[in-house]
Amino acid sequence: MISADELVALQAENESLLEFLYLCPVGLMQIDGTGRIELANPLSAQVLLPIAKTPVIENLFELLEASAPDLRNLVAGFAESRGTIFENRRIVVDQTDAMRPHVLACSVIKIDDARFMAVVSDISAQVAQERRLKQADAWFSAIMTGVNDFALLSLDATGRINGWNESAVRQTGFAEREVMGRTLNLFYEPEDAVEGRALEQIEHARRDGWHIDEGWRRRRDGTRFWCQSLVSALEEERGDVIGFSVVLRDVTESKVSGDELRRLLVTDHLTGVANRARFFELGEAEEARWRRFNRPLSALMLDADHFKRINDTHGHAVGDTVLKKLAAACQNVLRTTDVIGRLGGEEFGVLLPGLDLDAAQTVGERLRSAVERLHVRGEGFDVTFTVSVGCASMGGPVDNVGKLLQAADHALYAAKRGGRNRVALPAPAAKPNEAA
Amino acid sequence: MQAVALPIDQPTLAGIPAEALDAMDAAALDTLPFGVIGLDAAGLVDVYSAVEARYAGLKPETVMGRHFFTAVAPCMNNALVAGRFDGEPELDVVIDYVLTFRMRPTRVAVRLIQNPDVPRRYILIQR
Repeated sequence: MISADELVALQAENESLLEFLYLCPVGLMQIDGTGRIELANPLSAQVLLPIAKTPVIENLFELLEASAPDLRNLVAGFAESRGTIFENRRIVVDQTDAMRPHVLACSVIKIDDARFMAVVSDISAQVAQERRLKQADAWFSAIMTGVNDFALLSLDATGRINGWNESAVRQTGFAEREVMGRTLNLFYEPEDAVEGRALEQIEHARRDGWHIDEGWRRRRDGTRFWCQSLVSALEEERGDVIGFSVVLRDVTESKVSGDELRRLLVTDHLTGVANRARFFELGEAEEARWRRFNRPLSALMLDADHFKRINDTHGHAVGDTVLKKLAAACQNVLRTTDVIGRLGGEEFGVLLPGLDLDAAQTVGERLRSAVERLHVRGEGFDVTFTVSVGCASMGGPVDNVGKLLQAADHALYAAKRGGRNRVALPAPAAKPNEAA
Repeated sequence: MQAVALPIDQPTLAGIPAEALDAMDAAALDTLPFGVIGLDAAGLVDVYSAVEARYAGLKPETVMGRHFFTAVAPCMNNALVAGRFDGEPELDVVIDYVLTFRMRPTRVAVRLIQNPDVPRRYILIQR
């Protein structure tokens, strides 16, 4: 039997707990596996009410269906018996009314099969501030650092040039009538333009408010300059992107000094191709592009045949020269947008954006035959050597770069087993377009 | 009881006149079938009826004198409620809303009253 004093103490405790939850500055909810809200503090309602079409707050997944349709799947697909399913996931809420929140942060933690804790907060103000800060930073660095020259131009909401001025004429050599209505592809090297990089930059800027990119760009006369480009989205008050402003900076000179440092960090000292870390970094970027643009992506794995025998017979200096010549020959065959990296002793990886398996096989064959023609000559010896090549493409179960390289590696072993100095494709069962 | 003409039927959230509400003492407000919150000119709670206290699980003595929108019910500190008090000197509306009583989101009717002749602002809440 509970005493009167205990009851009073319990009531006071209950009241403090309620107050604590009423004043809690983030939305806290307990939901079940279907998203049904079992318990919620007032701030949850505060955050979710503006999203709800009607003043009913019953199911978190349904409320966020339009802006984050995958919440249900993420929660249902979480295999662990407990743990964080996602944390501070940003959900951009549909904005048809300036009053409505733009961005929510949402975390869901699994307690057990029937109970999940969800935390929601409105981070619109924070996101807006981040965008402003990033933009300010980008502009600040653009103004403060050495610039040979820069061009200012503007794009409409679809990424087509609608503003052109003297600075842009001076830097690119194009006259206004030649560029109006064109996209930034105009300034890219033809191969890069095919890769959709200009479009990609616009999409980044649309999503994040801004985007900075670096690379070779072309002038009208065909000469190229190393360009830093800053694209920032011009937003209306309600958040609709109405266009973009673009700064193209010619930083060819500062690139020359910065290049040396960069080169040391990202290249393999012996062969000059990307080092392993850089290769995987670029691999991630290609994977992201593959997801976004739905274009093919293939990879090759190359391994110098009988390399140990060359080292043992002629010494490591000759072995090193073999690797250098091999890498240089490959770089001659590959496009500037392809990525080649040294992944191990005599093993190289190549990423071929935009190429399907057939095209990758053709490239592999070109590499193989280019290497076959190489010689390393010295006092009393003339070494020739060959490579084995494995090809693979993204698709089917091969849905990330790790799996892609693994598939290419399997094919490489098939090439080795098949007698070396040859190009092999994945075994039919593992061939992506024939996979179940 | 003061000399105010109350309807014979139980007054309703939407029906009760603002003047009648303002003339009622605490005991009379406690008999109404909906929660009553009164705010002074500074936004501090100076009326908190028994029904509202039961809905929210907070005692009137805990809440009285606190700033309502920041220290009692931040869930109404938005454009739909607090913003309307700020923006509309003359206001008497009933809105559909969701409040969270004892951790359960609950659909409620909320009447907001602001009248230049009545110094107090009122929020009436019916579950």
